[in-house]
Amino acid sequence: MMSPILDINDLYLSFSTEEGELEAINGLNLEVEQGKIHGLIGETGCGKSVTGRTVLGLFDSNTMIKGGEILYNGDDLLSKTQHELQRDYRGNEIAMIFQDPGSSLNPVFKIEDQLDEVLRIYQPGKKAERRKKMIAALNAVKLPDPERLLKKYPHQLSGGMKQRVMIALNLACQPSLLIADEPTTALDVSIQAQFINVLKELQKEIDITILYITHDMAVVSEICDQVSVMYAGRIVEDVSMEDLFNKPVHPYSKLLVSSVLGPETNIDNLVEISGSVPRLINPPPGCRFHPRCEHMKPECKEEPPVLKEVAPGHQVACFKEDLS
Amino acid sequence: MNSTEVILQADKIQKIFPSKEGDVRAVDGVNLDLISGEVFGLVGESGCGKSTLSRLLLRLLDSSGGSIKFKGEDITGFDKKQLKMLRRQMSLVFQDPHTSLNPRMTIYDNLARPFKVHNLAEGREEITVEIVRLLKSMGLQAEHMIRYPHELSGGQKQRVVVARALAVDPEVVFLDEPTSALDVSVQAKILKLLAKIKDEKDLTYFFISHDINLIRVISDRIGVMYLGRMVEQGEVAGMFKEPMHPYTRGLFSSVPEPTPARKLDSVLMGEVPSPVNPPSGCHFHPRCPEKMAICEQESPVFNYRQGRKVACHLYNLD
Repeated sequence: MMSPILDINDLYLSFSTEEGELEAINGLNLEVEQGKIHGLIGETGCGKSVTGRTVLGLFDSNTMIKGGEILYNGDDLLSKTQHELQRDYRGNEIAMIFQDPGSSLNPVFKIEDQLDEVLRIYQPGKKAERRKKMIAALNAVKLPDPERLLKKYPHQLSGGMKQRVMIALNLACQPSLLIADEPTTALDVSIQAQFINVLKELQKEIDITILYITHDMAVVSEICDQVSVMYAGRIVEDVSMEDLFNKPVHPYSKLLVSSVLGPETNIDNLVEISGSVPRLINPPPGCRFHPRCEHMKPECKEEPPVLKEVAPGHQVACFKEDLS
Repeated sequence: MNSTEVILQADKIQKIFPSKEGDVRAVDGVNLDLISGEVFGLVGESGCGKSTLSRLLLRLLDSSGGSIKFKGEDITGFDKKQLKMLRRQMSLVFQDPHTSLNPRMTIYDNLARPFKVHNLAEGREEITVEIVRLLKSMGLQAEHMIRYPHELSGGQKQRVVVARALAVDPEVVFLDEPTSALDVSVQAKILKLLAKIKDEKDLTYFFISHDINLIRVISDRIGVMYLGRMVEQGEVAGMFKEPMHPYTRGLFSSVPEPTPARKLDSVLMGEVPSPVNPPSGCHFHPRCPEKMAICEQESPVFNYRQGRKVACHLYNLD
């Protein structure tokens, strides 16, 4: 097996809040293989966005890293200073797109200025060269008439176009890893479909690795190769996309897959998940899923289960005896 | 659905918003029959006018043309007093439960409002009895009454919002994306609850969503809107089996299916044009794979076809 481009080991991260310490990430292990689209899925508040931001060292002031390492091609990003991250990693190596394209672009600058700013910082060169790169980047994301587009302001573009500009902005510096945090959540289905197709093609053309953060299982089935299922700050299952849908193992993954609305779903066979996501201030001990789990055993309350390989490329963190 | 009584009817309803660049025809001559006891699902992409249409039907917005009848009575010209009575018969659940409740009021005070406004119960004791009954029917406990909205989870808040909409004992409930701010696991619970309440209280739902898989699960009939116009309407099973309007086809095939083996193939190209200056004739023609010469000149009218209503020239060729 190739060594992973991103390898997060035993990451612990908390937020200090008025009510106490919120243990947002609790022993997270995640390996993203080179050249793959790796999905990170889970419900609101499970820590998937925090994970993405932490890779780039984008912290709020109340963040406390409690332990672990984030290896990018073998270098521990957590040991780097903000200056080193900015100089050596952000932009040229690792880039990120966020959920809302409307608020990711600066409304008072033309697209040209925003693209050029990125290039000036990360890929200095002559103006004419930068301009060529800009046009190439806009062409790569299949935006029509890039010359004219460069002269426009964000408000003159639709949501789907803005999100593609965001990708162009990120890809202009040819990063190796792109972290996409719910990039299509704010888009309409037809625009989402166009976006997904553009992203899939691009990924093949330029061989970029994508960590795709989403809560939408249908999108996962369209775009991901490998998927990590996250629950309350830990990865509970790491599995290929096909196996996630065909034979999920962890009780939470099973529930998540069964709650998806498909063509055969109707109001009677709709699956309800009992209970709700726990609060992460004083979370349940042991496996954080145990209060909602129907296979709960005494040991589940004591130690959190670690990821175990059940098949090649398929890992599960659960004490259940029959892991299949 | 055991009767086919039309409870709410819109006839060429229209809403024009003036803007600096010109008039925006947000809703452009929509005909609609809402049948008593059904769940009518309305789909369409952002800006197609689905929320505006629901607000027109509720008389929260004044229409620019056309008429609306509730149980056979024209409500288009209703005055303030009449509208207040209408509010007891039709209520609304908004998308975001986090902003639908007053954060500075307890759940009790939030839920007591409709009882006070409509004089449905008097005195704290009577109102409390009603609120406890409502909360229990939503699967919440009486103790939630003394909490503030921020103390509840998203799913619990949305139940309170639904409870508030039901407080007036309405006949029609408009649900504008009621689960899009919720997680999948919570969404399933709310959908089941909504279905159960509908059966118990014999309600009619007007359900708006951009989530086509969800509309498919909950609706009896659906309508598809594009740029202010209704392009297709019909029973849910038939619509998904054989969508007739090219836009409906494109829209449905753009929906990602949660099945690993099936990938998106023929996706809809292009984007929704600006409603300020919509394309001539059929609004969909610039994106339509089956465009004909007539499509640029004439707007298609709604035609009946195998129990379906379709506004497309392809089906007017007899």
